[in-house]
Amino acid sequence: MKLLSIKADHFRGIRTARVDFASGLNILHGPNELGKSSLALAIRAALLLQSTAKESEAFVNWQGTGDPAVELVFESEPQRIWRVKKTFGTATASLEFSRNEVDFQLEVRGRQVDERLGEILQWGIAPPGGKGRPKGMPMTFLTTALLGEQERTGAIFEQGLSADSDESGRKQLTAALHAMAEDPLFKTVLARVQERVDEAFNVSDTKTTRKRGKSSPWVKSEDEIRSRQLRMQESEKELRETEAIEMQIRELLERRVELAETLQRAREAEAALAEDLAKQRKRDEIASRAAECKEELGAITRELDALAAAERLHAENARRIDTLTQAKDRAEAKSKDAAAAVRTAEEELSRLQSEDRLRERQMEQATLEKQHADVRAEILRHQSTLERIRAVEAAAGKVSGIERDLRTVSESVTKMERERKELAAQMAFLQWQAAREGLEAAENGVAQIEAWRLQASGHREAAARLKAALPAFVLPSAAQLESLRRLESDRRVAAARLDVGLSVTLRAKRPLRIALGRDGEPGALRDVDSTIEAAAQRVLKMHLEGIAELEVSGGATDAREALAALDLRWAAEAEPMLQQAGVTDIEALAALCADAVRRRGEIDAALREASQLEQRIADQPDWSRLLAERQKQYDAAEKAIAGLDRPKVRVRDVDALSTEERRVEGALSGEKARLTERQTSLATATAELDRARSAVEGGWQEALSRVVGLQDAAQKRLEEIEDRLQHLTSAVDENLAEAQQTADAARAAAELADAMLQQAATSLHDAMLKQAAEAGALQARRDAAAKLDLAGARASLENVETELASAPAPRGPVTPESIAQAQRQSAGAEANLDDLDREILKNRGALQQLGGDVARQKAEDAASELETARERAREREIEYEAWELLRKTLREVEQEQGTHLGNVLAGPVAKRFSELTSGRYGRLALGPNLETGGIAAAGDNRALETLSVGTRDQLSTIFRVTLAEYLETAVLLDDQLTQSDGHRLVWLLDLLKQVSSKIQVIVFTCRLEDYAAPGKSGKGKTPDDARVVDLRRFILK
Amino acid sequence: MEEQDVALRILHTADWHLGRCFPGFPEEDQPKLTRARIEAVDKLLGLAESYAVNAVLCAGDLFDEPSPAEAWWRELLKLFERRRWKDRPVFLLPGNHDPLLPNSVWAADHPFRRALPEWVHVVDRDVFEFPLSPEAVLYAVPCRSRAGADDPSTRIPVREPGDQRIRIGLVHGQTFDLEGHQMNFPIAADATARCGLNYLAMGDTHGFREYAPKHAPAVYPGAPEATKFGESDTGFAAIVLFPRHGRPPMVQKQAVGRWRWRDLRCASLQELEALRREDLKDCVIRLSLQMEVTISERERVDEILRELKGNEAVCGKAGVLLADTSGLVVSVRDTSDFDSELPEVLRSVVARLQEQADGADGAVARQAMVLLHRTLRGMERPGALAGAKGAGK
Repeated sequence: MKLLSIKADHFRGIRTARVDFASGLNILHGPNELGKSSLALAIRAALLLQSTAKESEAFVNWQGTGDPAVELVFESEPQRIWRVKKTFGTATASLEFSRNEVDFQLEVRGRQVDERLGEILQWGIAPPGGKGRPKGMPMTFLTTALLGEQERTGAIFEQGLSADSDESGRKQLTAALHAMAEDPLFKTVLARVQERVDEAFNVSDTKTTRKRGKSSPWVKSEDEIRSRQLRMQESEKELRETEAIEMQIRELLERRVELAETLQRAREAEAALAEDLAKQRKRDEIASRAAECKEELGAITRELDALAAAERLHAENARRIDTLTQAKDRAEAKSKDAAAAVRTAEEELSRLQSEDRLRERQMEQATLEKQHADVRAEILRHQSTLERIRAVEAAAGKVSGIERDLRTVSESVTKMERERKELAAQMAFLQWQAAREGLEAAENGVAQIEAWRLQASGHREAAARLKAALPAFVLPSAAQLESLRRLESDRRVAAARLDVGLSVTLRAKRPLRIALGRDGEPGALRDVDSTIEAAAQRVLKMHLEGIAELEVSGGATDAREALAALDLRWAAEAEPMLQQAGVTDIEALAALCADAVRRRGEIDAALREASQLEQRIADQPDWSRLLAERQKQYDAAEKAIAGLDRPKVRVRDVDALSTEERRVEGALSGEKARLTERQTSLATATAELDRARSAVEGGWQEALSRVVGLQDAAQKRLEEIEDRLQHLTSAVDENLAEAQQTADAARAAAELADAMLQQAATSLHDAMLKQAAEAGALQARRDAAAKLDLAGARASLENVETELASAPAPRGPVTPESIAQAQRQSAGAEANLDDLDREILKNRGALQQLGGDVARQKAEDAASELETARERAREREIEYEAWELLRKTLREVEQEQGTHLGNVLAGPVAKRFSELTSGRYGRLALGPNLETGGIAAAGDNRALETLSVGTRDQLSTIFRVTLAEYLETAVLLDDQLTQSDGHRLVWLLDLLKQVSSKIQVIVFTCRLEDYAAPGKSGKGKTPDDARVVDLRRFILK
Repeated sequence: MEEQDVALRILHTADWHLGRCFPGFPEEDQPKLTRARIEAVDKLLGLAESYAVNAVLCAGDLFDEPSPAEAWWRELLKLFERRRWKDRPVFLLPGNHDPLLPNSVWAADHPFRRALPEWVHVVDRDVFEFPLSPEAVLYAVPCRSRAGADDPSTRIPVREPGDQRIRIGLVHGQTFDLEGHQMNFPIAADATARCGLNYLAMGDTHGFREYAPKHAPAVYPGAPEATKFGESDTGFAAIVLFPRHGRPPMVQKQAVGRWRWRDLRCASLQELEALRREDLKDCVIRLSLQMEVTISERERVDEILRELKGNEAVCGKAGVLLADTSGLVVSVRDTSDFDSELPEVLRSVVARLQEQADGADGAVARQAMVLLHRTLRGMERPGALAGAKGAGK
C-alpha cells in the first residue's frame, strides 16, 4: 500500500492542505506549528476514524472555517486506487475506486466506508459495530507500526497482535512473514533438497513413499543387488558342487590308497602261499622218503623186538610153571582150613534158633503194639478237632478280607462322590464365567453402539457446520478461474502495450498557470511563462487554468480498444464474482475456491464416516435385548455358585470338564456296584463263620493252641513206641542173621578153596604143555634175526631226516582252499580298485566341467561384487533418507517459523539494530504475536525501558520500517528521530533510503537537515531520489 | 654374461586373464582395469623385443574365459600383427581358466586361431614338442578342463640318455605347496628332476615364485597385472637366459605391470591428506576410512575423495579408488561449521537435526546435516557458512 495524496480542509489548524506523495522516500518538512502533525492525523483519521466518531470533534478548525474534511488517495496494490473522503462535521464519508487515479467510481458510502477500508487495509480493525472494535481512533498493532504518532514513538513495544480487535492484521502479517521466513537462501536450499528427494521419493501431504519407477535409485539398487545375488547364488552353487566333488574325490583317493594297500596285501599273501606250497611239497617229498626209511627200520626193529619178546615169553613160562606149582600147594592147605570153619558156624546157628527165646520176644512186641494203637487213635481225635478250628479260622479270615475290601470300596465311593461334587462346582463356575463374559460382551456392545452413534452424530454435525460455513454464492469452477486468470493477464499485457512513453512540449506565448498530471498522478498548478517539456508513460494531462485541458494517451487505437474491451470483460465477468466473494483479486478468489473444495471434501468425508458408522450400528445384533437376557443368565449362574470359594476353583476347559465328569460318574456307579456285591459276600461269610464257631467250644484261637499242643505230645509218644518196637525186632534178627552169615561165609570159603585148588592144577598142566610147543618156533626166529641190518637202516633214516630239517618250512599250513581264497581276495581287491578308479575318473570328469579353482575364484569375485553392491545400496539409502529427513525438517521448521512471527522478524530487526549500535545490542526478544520482551545486550536480556529515549526511538523506527518492508506497505514516521545523534541519523537515513526502494516512507520533520547526508562541502544534502516537500507551500493555515 | 655364452633367451609370462571384468568397481573404472591387461601384454611383448628373446612362453590363463568376447582376442591379434616376428615363436598355452575345449578360442576353426600369425603357436596337443634351436627343445602340456587331478608334467617325456639339449617344460597348474593343488593340475615338486628339464615354465599363481633347485628352476612369473586386492608380487614377467655348457639358467624378474593394488586404511584426516599428496595415478586403491570428523572436515574428506576419484571432466589423482566410508563417523556436537548468522529458519533446522543425531536414525540425521552444509556451501552465499572459509585448506 502506498499513499498518493492527502487533502485536508478545515482540519484543526489547517484551513486547507493538499500534498501529493511519491513512491519511495517522502520527506515532508516544515517548521513547528505548521500543521505537520495535523496532516499526519488527517491521514490516520481518513483511514481509521469513522466520520461519526465523537473524537472527530477535536478536528474542528480552530478558526471555525468549516467542517473538517479529509480526502486521502491511496493505492492498495497496483492499479487498485482508492479515494476516501470524510467530512467529520456532517458525518459523511465515501470511498471511491479507480484504476487510473482519474476516473473514480463510488465504492461505498457512510458507515460502510470504514468497514470496506478495514477489509482493504487488513490492519486488525474490527468492522464498525463489530465485536471488539474500540471507540474512537482504533489503534492496532499495525496502525501503531505504520502510522505511529509523534508522541508515542515507543508505542510499538507496548502491545502485540493479541490486542487487535480483528484477526486480519495477524493474517496479513502471517502471510507476509511466512513469505519472509522463506528466506531466499532457505527457498533455494529447500528447492535443491526437494530436487534430490524427488529423485527417490514420491512426496505428498500425507505420506512419503519410495519411487518404484525405472529411474528410481531404490529400484536400481535392488536390481543391482538382485542380479549380483543371482550371480553369486549360481557361483556358490557351482562352488558347492565343485567342493562336494573335490571332497568326494579326496575321499575316493583316500579309499583308493586303502584299497591299493589291500590289493598289495592280498597279492603278497597269495605269493607267500605259493611259496609255502612249494616248500611244503619239497618237505613232503623228503618226508615221504623218511617214512620209507622209518618203515624199513621199523620192520627190522619189530622183528628183533618179536624175537626178544619170544625169548621173554619163554623165560616167563618157565617162571610161571614154578609159581603154579607153589599155588597148587597153598590151595590144598586152604581147602582143609575152610572145611573146619564150616563146622563151627553151623553149631552156633543151631543154638540161636531155640523156643524160649522166641516166646519172650513175642510178648514184649504185643505190649508195644497195643500202646501204638492207642496213641494213634488219640492223634486222630486231635486231628478232627483241629480241622474244625481251621474251618473257623478260614471263615474268620474270609470275613475280615471282605470287610477290608468293603472299606476300600467305600472309601473309593466317598472320594469319587467328593470329586463329582467338585466337578459340579467347576462346571457351575464355568457357566458363571461364560455368563459373565456374555454379559460383558453385551455391555461392551451397547457401549460401542452408543459410541458409534455419538461419533456418527458428531460427523453429521461437523458436516452440517462445514456446509453452513460454505460460501452462499456460487464459486467459479476451475475452468472459470483459469479463464479469469487469463483475462487478468491479458489485461496486464494490454495495459503494458499502452506504456509507450509520451513527451509534450508547450511553448507559452504568455504567462499561464498549468498543472501537469502524469500517468494518473495529478500535478499541482504552477506558473509558466516559457517553454516547458512534460513526459509520461501512458497518459499526460495538461490543465491550462482557465483555458483548456489537454489529455494525451499513448498506444495505438486498437491497443486502447483492446484494453477497453478487456476492461469491459473484466467488469462483466470478474468484478461480479470478486464482489460476490468479497475479495479483490483472482488469487484470493482461487484461495476461496480451494478452501471450498477442501471443505466439501471434508463434508463428504464426514458424511461418509457417519454412514459407515451407522451401517456398522445396523449390522450389530440387538445388544440391549441381549444385555437383559444375559443379565438373567448371569444372575442365575451367580446364584448357582453362591458360597463357592471362587479363587480356589480350578478353571478348566468345558469339554475337559464334561469328559472328567462323565468319567467320574461311570467310575462311581462301578464302585457302588462293587460295594453292594462286597456287602452281600460279607453277609454270606459271616453266616459261615457263625456256623463254624458253633462246632468249636469256647474261643477257637485258645482251642487251636491247646489242641495243637496235645497233638504234638501224642505224636512224640507214638514215635517213641515205634522206635522201641523197631529196636526189638531188629536185635533178634541181627543175631540170627549174623550166625547165618558166618555159616554161609564159611561154606563159601570152603567151596572157593576147592575151586582154586582145581584151577591151580589145571593151569600148571596147561603151562607145561605150551612151554613144550613154543620152544621150536623160538629157535627159528633166532636164526632169521641173525640175518637183519639194523645199523644200515638207522643211518639211512638219519640222512633223510637231516635233509628234511634243512628244507625251509612254510609259515603255516597251505591248503588248496587257502590258496583259492587268497586268489579270490586279490581278484576282489583288484575289482574294487578298478571300480574306484572308474568312480574317481567320473568325478574328475565332473570336476573338469565345473571348474575347481576357477569356480572358487568366481564365487569369491561374486561375493565381493555383492558386498560392494550392498555397500553402495546402503550408502545410497542413507544419502536419500538423509535428503528426505532434511526436506521434512526444513518443511516442519518452515511451518513452525511461519506461525511464530517473532522468530521471523526478530532476526532482521536485531541485525539492523546491531549494525546501528555497532554490535552493542543483539537479538530482540519477540513473541509469537510480536509482543516485545527485551533485547540482548552484553550477554544479558535487557528491558526496553532501560534504553535511552533516542535508542528506543531508533529501535522503534527500525522495527516499524522493517515490518513495513515485509508488509510492502507505506510507513509514516512523524518526527521519529528527534533524539538521535548525527552518526546514527546518517545510518538511519541510509536505512530509509534502502527500504524506500521497496516501500513508501513518509517522514514528517521539522528538521530537514537531519535527513541530509553529509556532502563534500560539509553541508547536508537530501537524497536525490527522495521527494522533499516543503509543507509551507502546501499547507494553508 | 657374454653374448656368446648365452645359448637361449626366453620370456616367460602367464595369467594375462584378458577379458576379466571388474563389476565390483564403479562402471567408469572398470574399463581402466580391463584395458590394463592388454596394455601389459603389449608391454611384455615389447620387453621380448628389447631382450631379443628367442621365444615367448605364455603359460596359460591368457583369457579369463575359454570363449572370451571378440574384442579381447581381436586386441591380442592386433598386438601380434604389429610385431611381424619371424625367429621369435610365441607359445600360447591353454590354462584352467581358458582350457582347450572344442568351442574355445583355441579351437582350430576359431577365427582367433585362423588369424594368428604362423609364429604364434597354440599348444593344442597333449604332448607338444617344439625344437627352439638345435640345442633346445620345448615340451608343453595344455589344460583340457577347468580342473584336473593329473600332474601335467607327467606327460613330458623324460630325458633320454645322451640327450644334451636344453629341455624346457611349459605347463599350467599348482605346485604341491599351494593350497587346493590336488584338483588344480598338481605339479610334483620333483617335476624338473624327474623329466630331466632345465627349466619348468609354469602358470596359475598370480605372484612371482621361483622354486629350487637353482640348476633347474621351476618358475611362476605371476600375472602381469593383479586381478584383485591381496595378490602380492604381481606385475612381472621372467626373462630366462640359458648359458651354454649345461650351466644353470638365470632368471630375471622384469616389471611389466602398471597398476599397484593397495588396501589402505586412514584413521584421521591428516592421514588422508598425506595420502592425497602421494603419487597415486597408477594405484588401484581400496580405502577404508575409520575416523571421526566434524561436518566441515567431512566436506574436506569428500573433497579429497572427489579429487582422488575424479569425474567425467577431471581425472582423479588416484588411478582407481574404492572408498569405504562405513567407518566414517561425523560428529555433530559442534555446529560452529554453520554460520551464526544463518537465517533463523535454517539454524532451527540444524538444531533439530542435531537433536536427532544420537537417536536410532542418527546416521541419517548426521548425513542430513552434512548434506545441508554441502548444499549451503554449494550455493556459495557469502557468510552462509563459517566452515566454508576454512575448509579445503
